[in-house]
Amino acid sequence: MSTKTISPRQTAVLASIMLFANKILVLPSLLYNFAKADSIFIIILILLAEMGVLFVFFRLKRNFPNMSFYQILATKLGVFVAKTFYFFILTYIFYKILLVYNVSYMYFRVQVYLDATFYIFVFVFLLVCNTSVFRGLRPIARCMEFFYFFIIACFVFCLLLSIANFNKFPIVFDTSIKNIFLGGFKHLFCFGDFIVLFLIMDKIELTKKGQWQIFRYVSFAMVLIVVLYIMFYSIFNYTSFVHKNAVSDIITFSYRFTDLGRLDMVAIITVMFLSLFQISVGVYAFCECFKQLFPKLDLFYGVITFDLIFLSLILLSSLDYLQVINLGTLIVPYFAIVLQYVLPLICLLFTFGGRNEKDS
Amino acid sequence: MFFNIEKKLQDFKKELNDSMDVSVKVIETLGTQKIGLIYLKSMIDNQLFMEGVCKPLTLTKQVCSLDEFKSKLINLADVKIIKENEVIENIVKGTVILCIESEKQFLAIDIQKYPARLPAEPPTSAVIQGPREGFVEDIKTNITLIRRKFYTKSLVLKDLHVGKYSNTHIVLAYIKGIADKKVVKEVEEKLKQIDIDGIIDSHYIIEFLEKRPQSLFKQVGSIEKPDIVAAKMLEGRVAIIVDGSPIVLTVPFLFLEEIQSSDDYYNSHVYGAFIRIVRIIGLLIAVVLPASYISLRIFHFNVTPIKFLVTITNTTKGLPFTPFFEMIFISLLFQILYEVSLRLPSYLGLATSIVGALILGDTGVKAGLISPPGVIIVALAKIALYTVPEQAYQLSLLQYLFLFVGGSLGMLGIVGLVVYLITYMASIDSYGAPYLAPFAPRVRKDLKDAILMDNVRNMKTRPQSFANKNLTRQK
Repeated sequence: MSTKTISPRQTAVLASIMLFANKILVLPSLLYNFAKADSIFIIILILLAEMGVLFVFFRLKRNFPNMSFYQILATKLGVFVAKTFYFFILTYIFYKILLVYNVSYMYFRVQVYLDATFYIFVFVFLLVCNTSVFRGLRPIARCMEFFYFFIIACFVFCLLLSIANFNKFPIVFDTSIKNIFLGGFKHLFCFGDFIVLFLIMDKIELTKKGQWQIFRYVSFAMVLIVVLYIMFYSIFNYTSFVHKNAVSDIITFSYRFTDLGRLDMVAIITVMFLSLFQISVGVYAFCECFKQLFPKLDLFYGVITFDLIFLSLILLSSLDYLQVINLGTLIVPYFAIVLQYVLPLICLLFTFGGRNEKDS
Repeated sequence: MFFNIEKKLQDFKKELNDSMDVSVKVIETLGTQKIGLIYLKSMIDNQLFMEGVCKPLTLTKQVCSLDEFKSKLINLADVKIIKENEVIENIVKGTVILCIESEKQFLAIDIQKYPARLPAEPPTSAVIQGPREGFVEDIKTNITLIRRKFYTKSLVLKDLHVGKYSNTHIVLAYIKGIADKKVVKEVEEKLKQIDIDGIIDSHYIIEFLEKRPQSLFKQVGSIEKPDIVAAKMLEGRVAIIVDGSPIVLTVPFLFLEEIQSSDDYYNSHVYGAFIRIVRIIGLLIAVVLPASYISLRIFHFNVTPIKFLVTITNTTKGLPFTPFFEMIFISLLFQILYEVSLRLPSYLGLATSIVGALILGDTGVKAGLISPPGVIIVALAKIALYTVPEQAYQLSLLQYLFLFVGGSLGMLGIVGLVVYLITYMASIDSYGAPYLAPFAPRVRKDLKDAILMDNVRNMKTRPQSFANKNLTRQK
């Protein structure tokens, strides 16, 4: 086994953890504004589409087992198109990191830190993510694997506790289909996390059994996310739009548990782990794109570039999470639809032509 | 006649810098044959020398060759014929050298004896049930202790000598057919490459064996008991025995070994699993508890349960120190008391406890310098360090690091540091074995002996987290 590749299980864990990104805090309340409790259908539909993307990834990996995504694009569409796609992916990934950071920052600021400057957050996130990226994909994936059971157990614990607040199944079919699709489209920026898998496909060892394993892990994560949405809408119903921290709020607003202490600490710690992992993988993917765009510059330059752009946006423009989300709903969906779904569809076409000569 | 005995012996003595413990004897047999003897009187069994060597030699009536003398001394442990260039090397190891004028070669009679303690229970690896013998400083005794665990031809013991001046005897032990040849070769090569003036203890070579010697986490196992070494060798590990050290080293080493103890296997596996969980909790308390406490006090008082918050507020009211300095102060106080109690004569131990617990602790609280919750948290964390006694020093350093991070960055800093450390540990590899195996990467079969340990009957395979030649343990 090469020292730079990750196992199918590590890929499954990475994909599952990335799936939680941006979906368990603010998204349920944002979607509610568009489609009320029918947002459950939005999440189910988009997650099914994500599953489709995952199968495209499997097929692509099976057809081009030893090639990187960039090599596939460059061979099939030419270097210029490949670089253009990579530039957009780099920008898109940067936006997603910014989103994860801002949403987590707001959450920690409101729920955990009452008296702290944002330098603390920037410092911790950048330090952990930069060092993780320098260590490589395998240590990051192993670290995720190490904490996977803990994270999932904490998440399930939050869902189980929320049962005590469960009122009744949320009222569905309360809005038009147009709203469902519009809500989904406007919030596409919160999805499409499997794009990272494409970027690291040459570092993944994939077998038939491994594909099944990834499918199982990802399906389980999707089920948990859907359950969270159902619990959230059933607990908060018409006030759902106010609750910006879904996973935490479903247990915080329970008088039954407040006597035991702040049980939302479980959710807080889970979100801390998740956001650190998601940003680390995001920065790694950013550097992978950077490497293909600027092949002469090494990893160090990729990390420094990310840090500089990130810091300048955070420190100089005082970008807050509402601005980032507004940006997401206005421009990003168009990018997202191309990068998350059109690009995988193009890749699917490549796989019908038989194996690549170079690879076979 | 090849040489003059007296002159030859004097030459050897000179080569040994006329050291005061070099003894030279020329005796004459009943057959009027002159025999020269040279040895270090501080390194041999003097009684055996007189009774077993001098007496039979002087009573010899005919003129003998070295081979004949060798057969006369056959009842002694180890007698062999050596060349002149090997003489000095043998003398310094405690061998008596015999020479006769009619032969170029020499007879080496090994009757080495030096003060050595008997195998006893090591203080840091005590067990309630199970073998109590521990390694000692004498390598021969240690080899015997290991040999007694394996009555098989498959046990391989390889000799090495390391250290320019100490020329320390090191033995590489493994089970042929189980240990991976590549690992054995790698260890052997690393040991051969060591170019140092002396090896005083096995810890001297740990850093040469580790792939990341600057790391806080140890990557070589250090064991004080032969039963544990035997168990590790049966799993496919290689043991390194160093003369003069009661600690035997083993590689490859996994982080999991920190929470395993021989006691786990000598009790019910259910109890073993329970104890391992307790050890992990102890480890977490030791490292994270003080940091979490101060981060709660400084940053996250809003997430602290109200009753707990009221108690803390009442007891910390009016303290002159900030929460961070209070914890650092108490931790350092404990560290100083610990260091003092280690080095003070035992009869002063009680006095230290009184000074520590009553005067410094109780009076400190009453004087309003430190708070009772602070004392409890630090005491709990410091005691918890010894749930993993072999790592107590490293954990203690981590405790300070976490304390600093918790006090300056809060809970996110603590989680960040945990992720940082685990990512770092995930990047370590010990002789081909991922340091965090069988958790990351997950090796399902090895989880049977991880936290929730299974009974011995179900552990049918050897660990797969590192290379093994023979995976089947039982059928």
